[in-house]
Amino acid sequence: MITNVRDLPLKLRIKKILEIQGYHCPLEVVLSHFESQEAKQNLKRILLTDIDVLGIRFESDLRQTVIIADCKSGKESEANRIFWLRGVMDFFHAQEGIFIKTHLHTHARSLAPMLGIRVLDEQGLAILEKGLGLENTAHYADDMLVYERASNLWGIHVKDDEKPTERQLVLKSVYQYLQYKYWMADDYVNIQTIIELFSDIKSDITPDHLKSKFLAFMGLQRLSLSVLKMASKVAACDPTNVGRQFKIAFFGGEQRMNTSLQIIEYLNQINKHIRSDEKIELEPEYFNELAEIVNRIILNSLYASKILQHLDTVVSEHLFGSERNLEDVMGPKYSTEALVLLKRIATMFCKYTGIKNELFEKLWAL
Amino acid sequence: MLEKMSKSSMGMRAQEFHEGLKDTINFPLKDMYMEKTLLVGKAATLATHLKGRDYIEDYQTLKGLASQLGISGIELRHVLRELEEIDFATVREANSQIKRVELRIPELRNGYEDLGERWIQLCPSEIEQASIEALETVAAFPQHEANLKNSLGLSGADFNKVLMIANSGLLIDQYKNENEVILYSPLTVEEKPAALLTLAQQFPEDRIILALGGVQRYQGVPMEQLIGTDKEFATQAMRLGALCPVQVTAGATGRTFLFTPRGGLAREERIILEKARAILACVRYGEHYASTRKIIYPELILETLRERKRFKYPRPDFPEQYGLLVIQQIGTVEPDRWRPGFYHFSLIDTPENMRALDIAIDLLKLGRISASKLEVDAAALLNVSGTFSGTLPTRAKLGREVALPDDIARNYILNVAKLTRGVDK
Repeated sequence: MITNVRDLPLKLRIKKILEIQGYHCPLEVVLSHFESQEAKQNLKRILLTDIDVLGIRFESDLRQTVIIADCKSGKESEANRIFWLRGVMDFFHAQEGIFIKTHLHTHARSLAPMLGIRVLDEQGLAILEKGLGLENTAHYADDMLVYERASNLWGIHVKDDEKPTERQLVLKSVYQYLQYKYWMADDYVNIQTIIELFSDIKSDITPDHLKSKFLAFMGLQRLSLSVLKMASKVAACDPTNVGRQFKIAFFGGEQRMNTSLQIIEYLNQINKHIRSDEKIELEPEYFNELAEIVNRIILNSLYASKILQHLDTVVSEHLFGSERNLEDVMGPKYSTEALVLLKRIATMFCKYTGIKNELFEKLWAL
Repeated sequence: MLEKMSKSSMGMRAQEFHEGLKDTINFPLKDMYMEKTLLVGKAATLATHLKGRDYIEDYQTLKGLASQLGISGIELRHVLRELEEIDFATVREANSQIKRVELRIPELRNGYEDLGERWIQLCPSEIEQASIEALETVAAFPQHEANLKNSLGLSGADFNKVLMIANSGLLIDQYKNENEVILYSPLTVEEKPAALLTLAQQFPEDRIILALGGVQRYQGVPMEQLIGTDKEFATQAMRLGALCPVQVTAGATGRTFLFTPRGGLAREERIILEKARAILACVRYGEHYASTRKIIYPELILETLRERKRFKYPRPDFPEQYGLLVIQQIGTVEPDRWRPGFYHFSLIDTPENMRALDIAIDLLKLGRISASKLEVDAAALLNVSGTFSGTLPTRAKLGREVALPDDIARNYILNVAKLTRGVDK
């Protein structure tokens, strides 16, 4: 998972700065393009670029604020990186960008504001940390530990002289989706795909292994992010008619929904012809429960906007062994409403993928 | 018949049995024969009152609310387990104590479907199935006792038990009409079924059932929207008291909105129901007769009113459209400070009015109301975060003692005597 160890301390520091301000911060987000290969059936991944820190925050009314941070400790061209960052910001519809470099030249400081980017060198970072009450840097050791443990738990491990088994390849496709494809897909696709993928591996991930638990939590994290984004979209369109707006959002827009409906109708006609009693429904099994969750998120947006913060804390604190009380760790940011809504998403995730409830035992215990 | 019933109806009827029987005391038949139905009914009642909440942490207050809903403290855990079974709740425990009840009660879809499904899963007894079926049949239209007995296919003794149970719950009543015993349900007949029987002389029974069902599905249907025989039927039904009209007068024009009757209510409950009908009639007026910007989503309008206690935007026609509510002291109309000729409508925030609004929403969504909604205000007991905020009524409710018919009582006593002797079969 580690792409550049040299820049890691900077990444972890800016991540902490954003997290304390309520951002959910995936590290090292890789953007890839998938190309079909003529000779083979599978798609080939082509790396486009990677983002050091992606910060996503849901405001109390579910509006999204996106920040992208680029961290460099070497001798890269600052101007190049700043122009690059602007492009990535546009791609992610990010409102803000932060360019962090151990030492900064004057030209970078004057160029960045013209492109709506904030620049920070090591000294500036320290002042920012102090301003946010983060002057004690001892916690980076903890963050580094969490990062390393997470990296070791990620992906399938196959010995050099061995070939991955069939099940390992299925698992690999889940890791790949969460790490690469997720960031390039629409949220309605992500929700449906995550549930489909995890139901494929339900017997492969068992609560006896921390690795499995970590994968389940990462799945839940991505799913929750997409559910929140969908709720944000529904709330922006028409919060007075959640049922209808959710349906439109879930099927990728009105036009696509109508097309899907038509296809399902044709399939049912074919079914009738072949005298099959099975009626295909447009809505998947979990559709109603997801609609209810989106409805609760919108009605409880003040607290629901903190769902990802709670999940991040559960992953970093509880999954890796700490037994500290969630309320104590989160302080005034703790919200039972957010925790209960998070559990509701997790319940749906388990129920409709068939993965074991015990994978989230740390969450249920809270 | 049960095969023809929807699961949603089964869930609703189970709730009606619980709500009808909850105040009865010394009535062994309900415990002997209605165990599963009452369990599902209790779960339905509790879910109805907890809908819209994410969790409850104050278990003591929940016990208080449950008690008012006819669920004792000892039963509450079993009822919550049923809600867990249908995935409406999860009870979190810490150190063998209930820490939090996390709720997932559907708001966008009809949760009765799940409750009905659960009722089937629990394999209700023959008497329970017959009771649900009897109530469904009789609530649709009054039945001759003999016909109902035949259609249920029960022995005389079992049929009597079904009637006894339903009658004790004020769900089925008898009406003697020229030597015939007619069974009717106070759930759908306000006083006596004579009006419906008179109607049956003019219209075929299935036509009446269809028409009443139509009004139940769309409570507050405007009289003018009905055409042909429907209008003819509605005019007669209204005149005889088989349908309840509410009139909204705007200017010189009066519009009539129709509701299905609901009997078996105490005086104060009837007042709340009348207020609820008035609220819904006014909203239906806006939906069908507003001169500009007709209401498209009546449910949302009522939800907004519940949330904000007033409508978002002023309108020029509020005094006409909501005049009835002003007269009934449900709301007030005030002129907008900035736009002459425009008015704001606000709800008078009293517990009675808020409950009437809740009932109006239920009438709109489900076409029916739960008796416990008329009696108990859960919101007054539980605040948003689930902690205690209201005061529990200190007055205990008097139970209705049911006198068992001689044959059933005798049989019951003999069976208890056998049990005492050690007979085990």
